[in-house]
Amino acid sequence: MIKTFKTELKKIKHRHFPLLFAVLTGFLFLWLFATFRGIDDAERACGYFSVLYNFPMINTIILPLFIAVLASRIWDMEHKGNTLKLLCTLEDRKTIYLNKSILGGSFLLLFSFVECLLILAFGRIFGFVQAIPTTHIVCFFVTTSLTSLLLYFIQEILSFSFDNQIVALAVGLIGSFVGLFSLYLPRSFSQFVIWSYYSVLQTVGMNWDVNTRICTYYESPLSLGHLFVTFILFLLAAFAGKIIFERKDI
Amino acid sequence: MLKSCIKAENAKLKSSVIWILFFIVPIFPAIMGTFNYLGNLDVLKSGWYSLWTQHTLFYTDFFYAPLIAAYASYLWRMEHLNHNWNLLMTAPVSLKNLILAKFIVLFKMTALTQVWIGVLFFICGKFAGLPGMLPGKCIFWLFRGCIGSIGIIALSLLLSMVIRSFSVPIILSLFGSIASLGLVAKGAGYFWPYALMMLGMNANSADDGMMGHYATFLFSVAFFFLLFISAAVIYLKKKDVRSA
Repeated sequence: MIKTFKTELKKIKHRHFPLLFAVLTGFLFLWLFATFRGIDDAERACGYFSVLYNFPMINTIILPLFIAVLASRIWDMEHKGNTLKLLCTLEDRKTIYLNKSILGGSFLLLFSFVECLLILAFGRIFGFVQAIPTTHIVCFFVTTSLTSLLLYFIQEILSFSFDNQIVALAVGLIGSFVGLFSLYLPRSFSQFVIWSYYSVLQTVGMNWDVNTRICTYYESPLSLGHLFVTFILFLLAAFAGKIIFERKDI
Repeated sequence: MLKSCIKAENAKLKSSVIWILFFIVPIFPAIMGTFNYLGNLDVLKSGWYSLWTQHTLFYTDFFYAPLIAAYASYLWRMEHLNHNWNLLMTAPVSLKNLILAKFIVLFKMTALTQVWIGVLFFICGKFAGLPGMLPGKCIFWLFRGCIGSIGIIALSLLLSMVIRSFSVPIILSLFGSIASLGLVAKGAGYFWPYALMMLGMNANSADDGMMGHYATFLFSVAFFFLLFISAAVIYLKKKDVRSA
């Protein structure tokens, strides 16, 4: 298992995966930096909540497409080189699927962790006076990771099922779009859109007073029902991917 | 010779899955924009123009450039596979014609996408109970969006040619689109290719925000077109192809 996983790591060498993640992280940093530049003392008092409110929205826009790109890059190398046939004679199919899932999943977990570090970094850079909301940051890490992994497993199925990666990318693109738009619709609608779960599971809400133009943030309890549904879907997607790949005609 | 190249590029798109993307992606903003419009009738009182703001909201800001990038990636993917680069580079046509043919075919697809968006806008307007026909201004903004997309097409062609991955140029274009939001807000949209399409389509606004800036807009479009197409041709001339 470790040996075959090392093979996967060798395959991604010189394929600029770290660069891709560095670009994404840098982009997030610049986005938030532009948002928080010139904040006043009142905003510093709820700075962490503001970041925790903004991050899920940004993730809803970027991550579905980014996850489609990640899954596509991990699986498309086998389509391009026509190596799946060879690979399946050397390794157990279950192991191939597991290795590629662990590889992509590790990247996503690492990315969620980096986002948490970014939250803390922004606190330092902009001098937030609010106490670090550890519970909210942990919730953010768990919900972002879980939603990303669920989407990754779905994208994996598409990426290995279709030689032409346009299908997987189309789903990622539409997912980003539908996810973003559903944020502007009532929760009763957005809860059916899995791409919006970065926001559905967020633990910080915002009230916007149109007259005073002042935002106030409030803590909202983590929706355990939605978290449970996400977890079940995550397991189902992982299991379905394994079965589909094992039965796939190569 | 250019005509033959265009024919060849058109043949690659025949019965292609890219048309599914072409049909499906614009449907989502149309449906959602319409429901958003119907849900906010008390605030949105300018009829067709209010519906326009809801249809173009997000679509031009975030997703139109990735859609063009997907078209470009699809067109170049054929060359990146099955040693087709060798075939392409030994074809008795100039590099300029090869690139221009891809550009023209991509522009055609983008223009058709704009037409499709216009059709959906009209259908949704009627569904929402708006009176009369599509306003001429909206048709003009659709046309202007086509012109604005020229820079994105040229850049997407260059990126998809240089980056062998199908997906990376698409995510880069999403980053480009998002960056254009900030640049347009700062009044620097004319210096960024991804922002030109947003400005051209008068996205998320019922009033025309481009009055008095047409020369700058057209100059930017021409500049980015020449810059990226020349870069693509020079790159092909100087660099050896990687065929696999």
